Amino acid sequence: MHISVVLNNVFLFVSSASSHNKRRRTLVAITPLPHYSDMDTPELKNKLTRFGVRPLPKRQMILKLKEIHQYTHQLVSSDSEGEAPSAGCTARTKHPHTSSEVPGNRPASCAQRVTFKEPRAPAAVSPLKPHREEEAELLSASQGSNTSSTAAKLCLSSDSDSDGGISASQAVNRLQDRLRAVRSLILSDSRLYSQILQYQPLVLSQLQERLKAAGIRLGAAKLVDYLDSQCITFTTAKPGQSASSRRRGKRTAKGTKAARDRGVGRKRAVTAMI
Amino acid sequence: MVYMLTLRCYLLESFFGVYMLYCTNPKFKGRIYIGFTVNPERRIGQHNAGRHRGGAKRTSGRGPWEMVLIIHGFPSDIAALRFEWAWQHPHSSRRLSHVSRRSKKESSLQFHWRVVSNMLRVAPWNRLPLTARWLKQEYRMDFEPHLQPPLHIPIAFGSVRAKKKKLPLQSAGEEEEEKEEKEEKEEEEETSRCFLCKGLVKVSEKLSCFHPSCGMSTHVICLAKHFLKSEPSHLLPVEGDCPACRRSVLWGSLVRHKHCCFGDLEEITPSASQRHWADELQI
Repeated sequence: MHISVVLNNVFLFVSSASSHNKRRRTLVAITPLPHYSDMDTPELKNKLTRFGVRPLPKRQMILKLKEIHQYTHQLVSSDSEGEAPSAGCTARTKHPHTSSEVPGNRPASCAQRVTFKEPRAPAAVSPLKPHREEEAELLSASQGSNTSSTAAKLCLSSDSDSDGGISASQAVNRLQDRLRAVRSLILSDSRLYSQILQYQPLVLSQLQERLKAAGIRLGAAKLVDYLDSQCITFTTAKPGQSASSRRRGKRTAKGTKAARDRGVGRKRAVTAMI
Repeated sequence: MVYMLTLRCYLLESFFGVYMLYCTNPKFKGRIYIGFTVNPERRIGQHNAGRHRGGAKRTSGRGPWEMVLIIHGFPSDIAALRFEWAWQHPHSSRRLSHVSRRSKKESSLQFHWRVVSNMLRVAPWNRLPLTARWLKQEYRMDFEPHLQPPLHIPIAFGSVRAKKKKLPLQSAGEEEEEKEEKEEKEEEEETSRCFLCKGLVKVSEKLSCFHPSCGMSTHVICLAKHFLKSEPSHLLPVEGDCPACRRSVLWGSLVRHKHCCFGDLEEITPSASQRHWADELQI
């Protein structure tokens, strides 16, 4: 007996032991990977547009289609909540791919659409009321832009766990732990915290190095979300390079003063993603 | 020329503003332009003079332009530039996904005002020490009831002139040494006690209450933690009561006072500006 189950866009194929096959099979995604590598470009373009993705160079199209297939045919863990696993993916595919040209937007585009609904498991809640409120605020502060950890499971963000099979509430807890760790790191480093308190922009790459050195695994997208929720200014420019010094270098007809107000080269300081 | 340039005076920007221009030419139907400046007075002149005199290409020859609104008080150019970008591209900004597109009955001016009203209320801008200033009262609009800015963000009216913050003169080539010496000297001469933790405060870590009759000193971090008692999940304070004189102070004001740019601008009366005679008319 074969059972086909369609859970949103995810096809699950369950096969019970048949007379000639005593081996028990667990839930397995059975739709095989199409031969994307062998398709020609118009065909690939066609397949991509069905997902709302714009035409790309051939190599990238193949990779993208394989990626999409991987995420729409994931193993679903037995204790996952009813949250539609592909909610994240359909949301992502709705998002026109041109947005990926805006750097940094892609990793979080998935997260942007799905709102977080799940409450924390009661057993895990600390008995101290103020502590709980603080955590709730910590979480809501970073959720301010509708980032969701339920989508983290299937989202194509760079910081998703390599073992893919964690439940939604586990993902939330992990994120919260990491955010708490970032906060602790900032509070424990007087020089860094002082810099923040005086509104001096942080160099993102340097902060990421610090986090890495401290063993805090937090992807750029989530880190940026957290910094934004805390209204901490950061820059993706290399240290020692500031917007004003870059502008001053691009002098035009009427000298530095005119150049300082000009738009030339300024966008780099903002990395146009936010 | 025999003079050797051994002395340099460092001027620092302390004014960072993001402004909105309105086109008064009926041919261009109330077009809007958003831009960044460290000097609003100079900037509007550049816009109206055209691209060959420093104005933006997009506004060149499409004037005359009036600078009607400016958001200022950004603590860095980076913060201001990001704000500028988001205001120019609200539908691309991740933080403004809740802002709907311009409706048919909305003028460009109304739309941009709605966008900026929203921006002041959300992270990463809603804790910055900003001021929303209408430079031209005839264009002034109120915040919609549901889009009121955070309480610490004042709404101001009237023209401004950016002040430059001056650092003491230093010899070229000896800058580093002198700077360090100076800092050390300052620390030797003026170590104070933190009002909160009673420990010694180095000048570089010191915040002082800017009310002349108070002048209490604390560590930056001590005062921040004190102010954040009511907002435990945040890292950046917005305002609080001075522990000594109890007056309510904005965090941004304290930081500006520390960096000696407490006056990042000065108000100018219309007669002081060199522009159009009509500016001087009282309404």
